Amino acid sequence: MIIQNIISVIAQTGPSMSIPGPYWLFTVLHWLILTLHLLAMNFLMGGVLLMIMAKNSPYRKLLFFENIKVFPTVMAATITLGVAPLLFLQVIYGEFFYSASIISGWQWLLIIPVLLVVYYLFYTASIKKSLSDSGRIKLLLISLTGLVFVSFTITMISDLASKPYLWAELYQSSPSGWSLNPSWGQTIFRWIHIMSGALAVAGIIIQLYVLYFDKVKGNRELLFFGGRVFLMGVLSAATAAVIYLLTLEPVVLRQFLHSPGLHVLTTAIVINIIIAFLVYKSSESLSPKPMVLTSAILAFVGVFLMVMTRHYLRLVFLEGKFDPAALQTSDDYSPLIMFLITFVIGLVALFWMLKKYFGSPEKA
Amino acid sequence: MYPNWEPFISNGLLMAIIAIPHVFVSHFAIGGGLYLVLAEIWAKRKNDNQHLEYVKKHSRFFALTTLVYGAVTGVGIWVTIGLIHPNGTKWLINNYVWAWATEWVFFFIEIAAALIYYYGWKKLKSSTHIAVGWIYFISAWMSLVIINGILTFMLTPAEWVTTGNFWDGFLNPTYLPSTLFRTCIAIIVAGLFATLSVAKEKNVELKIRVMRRNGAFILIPLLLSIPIGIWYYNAHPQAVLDGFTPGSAASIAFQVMLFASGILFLLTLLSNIIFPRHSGYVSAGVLMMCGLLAMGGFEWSREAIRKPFVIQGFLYSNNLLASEVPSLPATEPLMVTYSTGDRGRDLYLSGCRSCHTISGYKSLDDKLAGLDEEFIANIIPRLHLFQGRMAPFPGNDDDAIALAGYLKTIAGPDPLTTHASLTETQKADIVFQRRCGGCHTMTGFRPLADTFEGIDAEETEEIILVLEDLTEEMPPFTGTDEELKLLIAYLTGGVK
Repeated sequence: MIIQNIISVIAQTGPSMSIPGPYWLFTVLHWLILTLHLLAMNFLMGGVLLMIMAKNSPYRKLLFFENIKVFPTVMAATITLGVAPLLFLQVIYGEFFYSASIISGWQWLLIIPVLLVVYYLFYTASIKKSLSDSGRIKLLLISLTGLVFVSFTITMISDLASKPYLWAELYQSSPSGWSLNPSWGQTIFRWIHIMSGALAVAGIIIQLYVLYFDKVKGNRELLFFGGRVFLMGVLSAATAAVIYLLTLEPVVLRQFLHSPGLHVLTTAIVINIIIAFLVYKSSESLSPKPMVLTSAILAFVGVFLMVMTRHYLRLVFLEGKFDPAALQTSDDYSPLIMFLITFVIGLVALFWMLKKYFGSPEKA
Repeated sequence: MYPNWEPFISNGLLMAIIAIPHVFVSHFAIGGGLYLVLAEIWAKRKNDNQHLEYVKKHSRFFALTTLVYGAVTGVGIWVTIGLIHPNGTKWLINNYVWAWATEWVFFFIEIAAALIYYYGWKKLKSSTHIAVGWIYFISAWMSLVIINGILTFMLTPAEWVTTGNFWDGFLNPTYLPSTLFRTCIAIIVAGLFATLSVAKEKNVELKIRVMRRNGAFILIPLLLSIPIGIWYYNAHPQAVLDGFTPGSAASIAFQVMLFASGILFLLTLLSNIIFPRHSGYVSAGVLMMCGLLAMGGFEWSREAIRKPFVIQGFLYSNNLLASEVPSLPATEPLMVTYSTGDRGRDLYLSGCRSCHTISGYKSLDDKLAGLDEEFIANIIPRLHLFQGRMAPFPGNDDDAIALAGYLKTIAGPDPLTTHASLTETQKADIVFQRRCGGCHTMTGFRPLADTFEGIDAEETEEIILVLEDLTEEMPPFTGTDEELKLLIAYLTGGVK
């Protein structure tokens, strides 16, 4: 009955704007792949940030070559994993997303050349052997600036997409797309929250390095450093999140606190406290592996829950203007089946290739 | 409805700047995969280490070009279409999201395989490395197979227009020939990039061998693309092919494609097959330019013949649905959700800006120069009768007047008054073009020569002054006395 209410199936009698699958499926796929995208992005941004912050520390030398080699690959993963959530988002919230991106059209379009430059800089820093360490750091600094712009732009446009009441005036002031989200004073805390989260995830990744990468395997100092970075990141993220929530309009905050988002947020907080406990204990433990691995899994769950929280907050913003559950759904599931089959084949191929690459060394 | 973006360049030009280099590189990403894996197999079979070293170097060039430029500009196309035509994009997304999602899976595998192939030269055993190469090529080609369904759907949606069925649109009449045609292009482009990457090879013997092999990679699919191209062309409905009117953008772009392909064939024969020893960056660069021109011509002509539709026969560029045309002219004013504060400008942005600019590509200022507001208001509801395929105007009479008011403000200065050196013949030609030339020529499209043959100046003037009584499709003449005289002179044969 509930499902019937959610999925309003219409007979296919001609071209229509109905969505080709249930709303919940698009939402879950969006959550899942966006989580993977954010984790890749966190690794990238957090990793670069750490390399720059740890400029004169002994940790940098340990991390440097492991990290810098993988940045181009992680960048590729970040971009590729960012495409699918954007696709699913447009199916459900296209009207809001397109309008917001048009209002800030040039800022939105500018992310493409910036990404291009950042990507090439990562490759240069990664493969150009003649570069000095300081030269690499400079390249990473420029890359970080680019990533900051891209992430800030995406956060600003996502926020603007959930505030249709701002559009008319912004559009009128610049139909050519030079308007920026005026609520940046509020949104910047949302962005700082995401950036701090990146640092926290980078902390966990450092601990994973200690478990798996030969050059730093078992290095307790680095394990401790990873734990400290996580704590620093998670505390900053929590502070930014609290400030962001407090800057919301009281009616929005009240509605959010009465939505499922509150439960999701509470669970995310509990999970992050558990991770904090585990990373603290792991730096003291003689066998940190189970704790680090549990932290990594919980970090995935934590980011997933933050993505869900974001979703519920968006629904609160759009309440009364848009109800995605009321979208009409077409009844032709054959394209969805094509996708699912491809998805399974893709996973098998990916698993096989990764197994061959990371498995026991083969003779080339 | 969405806000209408007004960037400083035309939507079409912006799209072309991002899309044409992207499709060039993305086709390289497909054909280059095949090239690499075949080259690796050949080199290993013959124990040709020099060749293998070249293939390794080429794989780095390949990864840097396709993974970075190809992938990011691919996202760029997506960003751009959402900005310049959000409504069309939404129609595509809602109907073909699972095709896009499927293509994304192949794209993901393609990226992963490319990275593993590139980093795996030393780490993977030979057979595994080649297998990864095949996985790369197959997934890259499959992403073409999928995305091409959406691309061809936009031009030849066939039964989808009435059924709305995913497969009716996806497996449309041009899908198969287009997929094969693009596969040929992908292999050609791979040969072009490989020619560029071997251009500075110091080992002359290796260079000659690779150059000749690259030549075969270009010439064989180029020859194959001729029958496939003819099949592809003929698979289009006549209504689409009618877009190739002489002098139209579609027609010129098509000729550029043919010309550049012909030059490409001859130069490849010379530089790669006959004189491979002497080939270098210059010749490789010229070949690349020919390839880019041919590809640009192909993509541009494909886009141009789709005009004025976003989805052929279904959705016009100005967001009007073809199913709404029978109810035109509209009685209600056109709804504009996001206003600039000027109703006329709003109507320009929603009705014209999708294809035109004020003074750039497909500019309006020169076309409107010297026209009076009343005449502009009268021709707006008749735009669909214009030569050059214009979308019908979706607004009502008041909208036409408001739009005409705005268009008058952007119109350029009247050349009749600003160009003192014009001859009477030139002036008459200008007047004919702006008063009649939208819908008529003297001897070609809706010709007027026969109509006015044997009719003297007096009778011609009588006809011009009652045009609106002759047929509903004709707007009244509202020009000045000087324009009237010049037009009479033109039509009566004084000027041809």
